[in-house]
Amino acid sequence: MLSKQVFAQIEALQPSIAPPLRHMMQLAKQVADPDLLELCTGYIDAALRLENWTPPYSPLTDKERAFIAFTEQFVTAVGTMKDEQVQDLLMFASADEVYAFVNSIYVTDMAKRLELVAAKVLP
Amino acid sequence: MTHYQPRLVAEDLTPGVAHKGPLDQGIADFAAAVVNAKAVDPLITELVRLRCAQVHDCRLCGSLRNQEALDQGFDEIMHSKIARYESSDFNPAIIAALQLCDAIILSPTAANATLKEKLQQYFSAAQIAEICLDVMKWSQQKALVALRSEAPISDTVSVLSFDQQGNPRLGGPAYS
Repeated sequence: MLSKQVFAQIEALQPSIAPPLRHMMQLAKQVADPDLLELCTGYIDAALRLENWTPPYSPLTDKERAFIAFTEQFVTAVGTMKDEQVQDLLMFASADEVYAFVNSIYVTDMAKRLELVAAKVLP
Repeated sequence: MTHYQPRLVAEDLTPGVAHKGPLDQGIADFAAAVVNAKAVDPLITELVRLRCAQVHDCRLCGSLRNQEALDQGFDEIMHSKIARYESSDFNPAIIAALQLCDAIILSPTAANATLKEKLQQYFSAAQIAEICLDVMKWSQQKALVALRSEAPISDTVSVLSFDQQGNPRLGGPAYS
């Protein structure tokens, strides 16, 4: 989620935080459906760079579309997330799976943001 | 304040699987390490935390005030200035920290050499990294907001504090 260069900068500047940061990012990759997470990570990466995102294959399944729609809302304006957008996930995944996915997306989203900004502002 | 129902039913979550599972613990461990970093002025950390709460619409975070910041003189006048901080009378260090916060949570592509130069006028490299990681930690609420599981603990503004290990403690009125 973080490049080696940015992680090394953070590790040098905040040595007590780097290990739990690394562990959290590792766990985020392990607890969610890896294919869905990879698809949504691709979306996040493009969205945060203000680039157009095209799916790596098509057509996406209804499940993949629901998770991408959730991810888009999460990344752009989580405060206006609608009940229906979570209900759409629950049509395809259990509550445990949705909970794990949402927390994995939090880590992925914020790690990507950290990568983009830290690379510009850290010495 | 808008009232929401949690979007996942508590009884449908298996304790230890996802909720209170390994990633929850990993996130909590990261959060504890971040709050135990103390190189940045508690007032600035609190303003950054509340900026995250505003942007993410976190009802719980917005209802809390950090005890260390209250001890340093944080008050509701400061809180009221956060939304329009760039035109406020906050000092330049606070404005730079909030601009860094906004770059991370709103527009990462806006981070540039100008922001870096401004930050370096007021903060060491370690402090800049601490603020970046603060923003990541205080955006943990995005997951809570997405699932609307971030109801405030009280109708009044409450105190947020942390124990020696960095675990949060909520409760008690922030102002008498």
